[in-house]
Amino acid sequence: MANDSKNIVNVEDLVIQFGETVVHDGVNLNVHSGEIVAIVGASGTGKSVLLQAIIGLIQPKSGKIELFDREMNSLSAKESLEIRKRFGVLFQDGALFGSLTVSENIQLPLLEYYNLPKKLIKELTDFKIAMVGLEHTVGGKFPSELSGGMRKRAGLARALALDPELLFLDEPTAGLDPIGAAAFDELIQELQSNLQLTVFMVTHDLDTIHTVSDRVAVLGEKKLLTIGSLAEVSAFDHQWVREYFHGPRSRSLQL
Amino acid sequence: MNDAKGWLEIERDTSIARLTAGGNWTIEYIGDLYKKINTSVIALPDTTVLDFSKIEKIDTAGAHLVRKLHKQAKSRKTFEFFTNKRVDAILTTLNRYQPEPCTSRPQVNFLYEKIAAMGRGTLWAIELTACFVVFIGNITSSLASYVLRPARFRAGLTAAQIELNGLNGIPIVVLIAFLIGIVVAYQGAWQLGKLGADFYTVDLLAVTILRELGILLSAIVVAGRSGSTYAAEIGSMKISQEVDAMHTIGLNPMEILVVPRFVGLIIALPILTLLANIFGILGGGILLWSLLELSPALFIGRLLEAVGPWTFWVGMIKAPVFAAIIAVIGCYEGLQVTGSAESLGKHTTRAVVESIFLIIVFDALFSIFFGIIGI
Repeated sequence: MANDSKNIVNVEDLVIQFGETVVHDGVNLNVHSGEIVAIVGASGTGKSVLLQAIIGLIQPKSGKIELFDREMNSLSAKESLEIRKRFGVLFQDGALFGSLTVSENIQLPLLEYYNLPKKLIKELTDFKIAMVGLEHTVGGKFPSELSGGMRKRAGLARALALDPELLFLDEPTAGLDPIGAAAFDELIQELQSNLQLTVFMVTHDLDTIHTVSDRVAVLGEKKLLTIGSLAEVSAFDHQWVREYFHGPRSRSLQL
Repeated sequence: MNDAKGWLEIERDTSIARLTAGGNWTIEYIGDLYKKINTSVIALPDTTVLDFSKIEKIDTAGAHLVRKLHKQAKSRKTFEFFTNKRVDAILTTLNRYQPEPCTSRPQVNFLYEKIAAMGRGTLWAIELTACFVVFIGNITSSLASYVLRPARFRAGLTAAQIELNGLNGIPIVVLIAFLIGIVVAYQGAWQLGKLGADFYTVDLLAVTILRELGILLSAIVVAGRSGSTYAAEIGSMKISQEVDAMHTIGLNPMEILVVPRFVGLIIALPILTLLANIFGILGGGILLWSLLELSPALFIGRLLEAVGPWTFWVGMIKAPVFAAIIAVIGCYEGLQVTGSAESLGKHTTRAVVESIFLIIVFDALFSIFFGIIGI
């Protein structure tokens, strides 16, 4: 791991509130360059909300969110676009555009940002499709013709289209069969190490956490309960954390 | 972050070529590098040296080009290849995947596509008609079953539909009818006034509003309001598998979703039509009062003379028929939604367009029918 401890994501005193409901009340979180951080937490603790706030889909009530050392709220539209080019997001169900084929979905960011020869774009797309483990015949299909797992892979290919440095994954293995999920874990790990990606993921999957993550962050009680290596976090003294990491479904962890 | 532009230098003579690459081989610079490779690296000589060791930063797009160059150079007699750790790592990743050209969306001739679409549209219209007949049959059989078991009829759901589509639609229908009444009376008074027959504007107003405009306006507003709502509501329930869930719980979507909307609209639209008729006449009356100083008493007297025994009922009879058209098409299109948001939009539009179209067609058929039987 490239542990130069440079913070790619930096969240300070984040407060998020919807109407009267306070979701986060002072969350602090860092993601270092080149690491894979997994966010866990019980349902309703605002894992996805945190992710959406970091990628700029939700406006926090107060607090600071920095990506690549730039505070997201203070950027002009153009600067924020430059930052957006440097991260990719995989939404829970892929969020592919239904009116475009898989290939066109992947090509979209390339066409939007760079003036590249058509043939090169096609080559790059073909490569991205192969890289996420999809058959080349999938390229011409529409998202509605794909299974959930395939949509996820296609979504990942689109997220990787611009070769981002930072990747956000929202429940990457949810809805996949164990073999598919394991393959997806392996894929993410391999891409991460070879492309020097930083990965921020929200997940429930203990296997994913175990195989992939460098650090685990636990959300609860509107705050970040703890963050650290899996061993550190699973030793943390909190009822939910104990149940989560030592419950009946945690056999694979073998801690 | 290092922002050195990606570069590629090519030194070559007849027997040896030396390609040196450096800088950032990332997606920002890949377009120029690609062009350079395509124009300068065509036929490589027998000895080729590839030196990629000066590359500082590389992503998969850059690595893709490196791999292309590598593939081309490998076939030469003598071949030397220098890399660094970064390039090696990413090439290892890349080499694990063997991309094959993906099929893209087939390109079709525009004219050919339009003609084919016309043919498909015709077949589809025939099929749609058949489907409507089946769907109407389903609704009828559901309704018939209530005759045997009236307790199963969902009165609550039906009442809710009457409120949503009848009661809540009153303000807009009434306002439009009132304004159209004014327009018709104004135009009538103007044109008939030229002949000195402006008193007959009352006849014109009564006949156009009661026979045609009252029901047509209400039906078109309801098609836009309720037809689209039906399609969108049922369609989004299809997308979220709520309709499937109903089947598995043993509820019949026909009974829960379609029949209450159908019955509700058949009750609501005649009421809306009645109100539209009243307010249309009222609008016209008020205009005539202020424009021609036609007193309300005179107006009502003339109105009662002008309206024949059937004038009012000719309009009202159409209301339940149009209501059935709107409800059947709205519900049918809603149930045809599959999967995506795009499909939901398409079927909602269809629901409105088809129901307005059929309303006009049936209105014409009614006119012919009433003409033949002479009322």
